[in-house]
Amino acid sequence: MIEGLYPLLPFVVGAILCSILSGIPRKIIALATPVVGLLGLLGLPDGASFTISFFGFDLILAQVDRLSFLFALLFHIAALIGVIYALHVKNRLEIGSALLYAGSAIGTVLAGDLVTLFVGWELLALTSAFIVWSRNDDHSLATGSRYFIFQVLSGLSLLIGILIHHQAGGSLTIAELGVLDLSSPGVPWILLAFGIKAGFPLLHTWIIDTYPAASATGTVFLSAFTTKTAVYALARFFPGTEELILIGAAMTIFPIFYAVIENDLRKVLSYSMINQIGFMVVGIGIGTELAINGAISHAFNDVLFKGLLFMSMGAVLHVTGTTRGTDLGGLWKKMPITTVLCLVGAASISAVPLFSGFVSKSMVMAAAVQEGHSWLWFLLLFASAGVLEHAGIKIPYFAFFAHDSKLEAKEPPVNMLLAMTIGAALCIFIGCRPDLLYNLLPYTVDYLPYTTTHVLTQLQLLLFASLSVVVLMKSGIYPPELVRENLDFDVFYRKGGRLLGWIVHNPIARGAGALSHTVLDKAPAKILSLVQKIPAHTPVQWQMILPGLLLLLALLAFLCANLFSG
Amino acid sequence: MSDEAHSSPSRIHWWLVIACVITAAADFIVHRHLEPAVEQVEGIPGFYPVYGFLAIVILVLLSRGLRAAVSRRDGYYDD
Repeated sequence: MIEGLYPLLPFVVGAILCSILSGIPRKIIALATPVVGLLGLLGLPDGASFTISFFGFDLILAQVDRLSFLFALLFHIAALIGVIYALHVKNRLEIGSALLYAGSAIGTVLAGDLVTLFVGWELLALTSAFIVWSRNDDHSLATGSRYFIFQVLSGLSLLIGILIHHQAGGSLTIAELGVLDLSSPGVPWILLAFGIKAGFPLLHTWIIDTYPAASATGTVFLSAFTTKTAVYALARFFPGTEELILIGAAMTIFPIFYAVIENDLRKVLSYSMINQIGFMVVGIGIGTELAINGAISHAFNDVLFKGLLFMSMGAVLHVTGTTRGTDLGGLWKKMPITTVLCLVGAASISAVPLFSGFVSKSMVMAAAVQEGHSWLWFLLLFASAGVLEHAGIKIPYFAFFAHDSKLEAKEPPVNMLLAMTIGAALCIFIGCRPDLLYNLLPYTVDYLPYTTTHVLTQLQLLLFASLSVVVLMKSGIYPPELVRENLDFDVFYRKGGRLLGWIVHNPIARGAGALSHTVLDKAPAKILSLVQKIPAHTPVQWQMILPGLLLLLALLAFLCANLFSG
Repeated sequence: MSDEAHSSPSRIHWWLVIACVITAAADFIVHRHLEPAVEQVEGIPGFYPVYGFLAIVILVLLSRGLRAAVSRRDGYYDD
């Protein structure tokens, strides 16, 4: 360990050096960055350190307790795995942004006051947007911009919330804050900010829009940090907030339906990510010690197994150029190692005994049932079967098995395989030795995952769900993979703007044109000609009555219109 | 779906069926620990097998409905 080293510093230095250097030196710096950062983290004392005065604010750059330490540790591991996975990448912008991004996430979870938290929050947004943009094609530029707008809105909401909170006399020091109350001023804005980044329902679209659009390596970084920083923030400020139970439950359910019909396997994983965060949000909402431990340990495991799954799909993308289920299949013969590693990730996320998901997700479910939320328990059980379907079976099946796509493929570069192997090893290790993870959790763990009942019931659920998938596939009821775009909530802003443009251009502009043509050009001429047509020998009164009648009609129409609209 | 997916059950499918039968049968031998809040449902022998199987059936059927509602041609957002 290195004492007196702020963990963000190595990431800033590493990012600058990686943007200048190339070849072997850059690889060494990239690998050394998270290692040095980790040594700095281990050297940090408990409680506040690195306090600086900034424009009259006393900023606490590092505040170490069990919660922030666990997330900072997790982010260092994720950064190291990500760097190894991306070691072959020559794109300087991507690797530099990725290091800064990982550093921002670490800085955010270590933040000891709300101002530092806000700065970290904004840095996360900016650095991650550059990872998306670094792919540098039309699609990723547009997607990256939409992504950035969402992240900026989250930052703005956080800023508004902090300002209102501070104005009302609230403390800025996180250690003094404790749990935030939704009814106090500014706090709903803060929750909204966290909710955008955590992918709350209707605010989730940036996840499924962006993660399938970034590069094979970029998505591995993206998937690790932003949403989990939000989970950290929720666990820090909103444990036991009952609204989160409902929000989290919705997050576990709706994505599993989209995951069944989605063709792009990285998009399936993006929906899967929302589903997994749903379990964490539910746990935070329940708020008991068991539930919080479950949510936090599941966040830890999710970074590892979701990262592993994104890495395996990234490997497929790297060697075949696609992650569409319709184009893939039969790759296990050409990529046997990747296949096995993907299956480890699939087993972990499906919570198969001896794999990591089994020891964490069940804590949330046990907490739900212990607190008497029986409907919630049934819903989470349903979602668990859904996870097995899309992440446990669909992802490996359509990529590596199913029909042979005859695609040119081989194993990915050795650094990618190494990164996936480390991820897979951790998934199995935590699954077999959960006590090591449990010892790091915020509360003392009084939970045994490996009981006869739990192992048996979980195997029953998973095996019969698998059987169901097989039966439905054989009978042709299972929806086939199709090259289609599935509309999600983002249709409202991606097409909404265009719809507004169309309405202004077509009905409104044309209608107004036609109206003005009728009222201003045609009508006076018509009236004039009518008046002129009246024979000269008609009694003179008619010439006066006709305009009068027209005026009366117009008045009546005006009155009617007002009456009915009122 | 590929032709192979509709082909006759392979060996792995039979292993799956055997594993299903064994775990389902275990319900009648092993005394399960039940959670008080849901024990009336959870305690029924075969609850987890039936729930797991039906969950996927419901999931898939509803997903077919979802596809009918939200599926658009590829490149829907590109023009």
